[in-house]
Amino acid sequence: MAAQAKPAIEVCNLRTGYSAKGVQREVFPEFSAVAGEAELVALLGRNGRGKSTLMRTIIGIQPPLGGTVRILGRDISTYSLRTLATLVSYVSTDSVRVGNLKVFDLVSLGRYPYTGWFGTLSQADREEVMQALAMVGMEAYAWQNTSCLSDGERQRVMIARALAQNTPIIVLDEPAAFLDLPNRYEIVLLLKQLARTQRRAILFSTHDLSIALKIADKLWVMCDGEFHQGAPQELMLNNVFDKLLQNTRLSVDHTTGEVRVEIES
Amino acid sequence: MHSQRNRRVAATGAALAALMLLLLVADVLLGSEPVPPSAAWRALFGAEHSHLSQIILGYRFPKAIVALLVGVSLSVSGLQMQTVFRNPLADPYILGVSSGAGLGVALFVMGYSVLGKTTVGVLLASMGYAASACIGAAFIMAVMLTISMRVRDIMAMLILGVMIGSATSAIISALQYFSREAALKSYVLWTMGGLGNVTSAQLCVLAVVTLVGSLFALLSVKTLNVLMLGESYARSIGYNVSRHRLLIMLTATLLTGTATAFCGPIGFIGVAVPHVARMIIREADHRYLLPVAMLLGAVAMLLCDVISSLPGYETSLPINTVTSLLGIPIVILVIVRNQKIV
Repeated sequence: MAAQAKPAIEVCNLRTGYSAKGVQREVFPEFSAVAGEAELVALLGRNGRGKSTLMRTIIGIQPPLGGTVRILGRDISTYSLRTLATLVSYVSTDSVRVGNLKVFDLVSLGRYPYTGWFGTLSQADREEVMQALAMVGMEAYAWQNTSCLSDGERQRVMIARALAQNTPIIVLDEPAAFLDLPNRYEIVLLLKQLARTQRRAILFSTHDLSIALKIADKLWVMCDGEFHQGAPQELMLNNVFDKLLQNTRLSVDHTTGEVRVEIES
Repeated sequence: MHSQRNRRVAATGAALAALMLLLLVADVLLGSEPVPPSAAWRALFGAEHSHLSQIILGYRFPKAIVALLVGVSLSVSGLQMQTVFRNPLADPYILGVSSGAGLGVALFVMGYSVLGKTTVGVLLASMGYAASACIGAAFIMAVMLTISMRVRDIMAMLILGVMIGSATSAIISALQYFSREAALKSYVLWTMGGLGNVTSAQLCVLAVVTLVGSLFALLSVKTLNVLMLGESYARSIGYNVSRHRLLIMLTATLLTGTATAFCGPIGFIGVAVPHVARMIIREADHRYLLPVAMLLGAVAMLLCDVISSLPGYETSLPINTVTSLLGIPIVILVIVRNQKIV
């Protein structure tokens, strides 16, 4: 195995979930996981296994029920909201639909942890915004209205907003949902390239097993009551995907990594 | 690009400021009895005491200033509510906050009479109107904010606003049924509203609240921009959303409550003005949008006041009628042109 990348996100004995009226509702049993610098990690799991909850815990929006999340080696709860905003950025599934909002202005919101009281951008901030747009190939769209963008373009702009935040860690909740097939690959390939060239740790959740198997460096898989992590081939050898797809008509071809469908005749 | 943009918005702002001054003058000069400019000048800055100077100093000029202040107040709180609720059709009137202010006033005026007291000191009374209106407005605002945490649907929020408005009206009707004639009369007079019935003490309160509220809104433009993204994004860029949201809604409540307390419920300025501002400058950034909406709110309210008291008629139209007739077409235009938003 290659030398371990420097850990960016460390999840230790984490229990995620909600506590309401004094009763803790755990969504997934205790588990540990690591994501390293310059690594593209895909988070897989069926609906309701707590992928979004895990992501919300990692970006510090939701406190864990137990265990710890360490960001760049330090417990997440010891960071202030402000400092955390300079370490972890987030792309949610919410679509931002505001009339007359320019692409540049939307991306520049990513600079807000660094700007002053009125959010006035310095020349350097503006350059960062344009660089972020260039990284996702959208610099020509800077002065367009966000409402005129296609879904794929909008997702690129949302990623640029996270890039402008200039954080070593980026967390994305289903960035490829709602996109057509070529765009799904394009977005994940873009994430891979950003992880490589910018040396950022990128964690994204997805339901697209074949894209995750082909492109991601590492997978975090939330099965029924079990958590697995590792490189795609490694997990394949351990039959993790069979567990993920158990009680369905789907299976994964262990040599090609393609998803097979069993059709009754 | 950036300086070009600043220049364009500044030019729009300057044009609106000029228009505002023009309408301010027109509002003072026009009315059931038109006043020549020279007479108005003498009345305002000379030592002359005539019938005309009494009309101008004692009625027309304060009324125009009230129009300006109320226009700014309602537009600022409308824009704040649209951004915080992330709902393009949110405004104090539509979400029932104005009705809440009305309920506060009704409880104050008629509750007093039910308890058996009918006379209140003048100053105490006007402070009581303002305080009870603000408390009523704050109550409905808190209810709507709580609901908006659970109900994300824009249309559902608007329907709930209408229902809460109806519920408050029902409570007010019940109160009216039990209250004494004198109290009933003063409440009905209040609901008719009007910019001209504001006393000088009330004008001072209104001016201070509008000034402080607008200043606070101007200081919170960065937060308003962040809130456009929604709660999880705002938190991920380091914002304590609940605290900021509470402060902004408190300002909106004070602005609406005070304006409503002294002038009665005034509809559709809060929802329409921010949209017209967006149409004019084609920007969503609150650093541009808020100042333009403030100027435009003053312009709109002054225009409504000029229309409501056109020369040649002894009586003037109720101000709420004019703002509705002017504002509703804009709301319809916003819904039809941009169906994606609802």
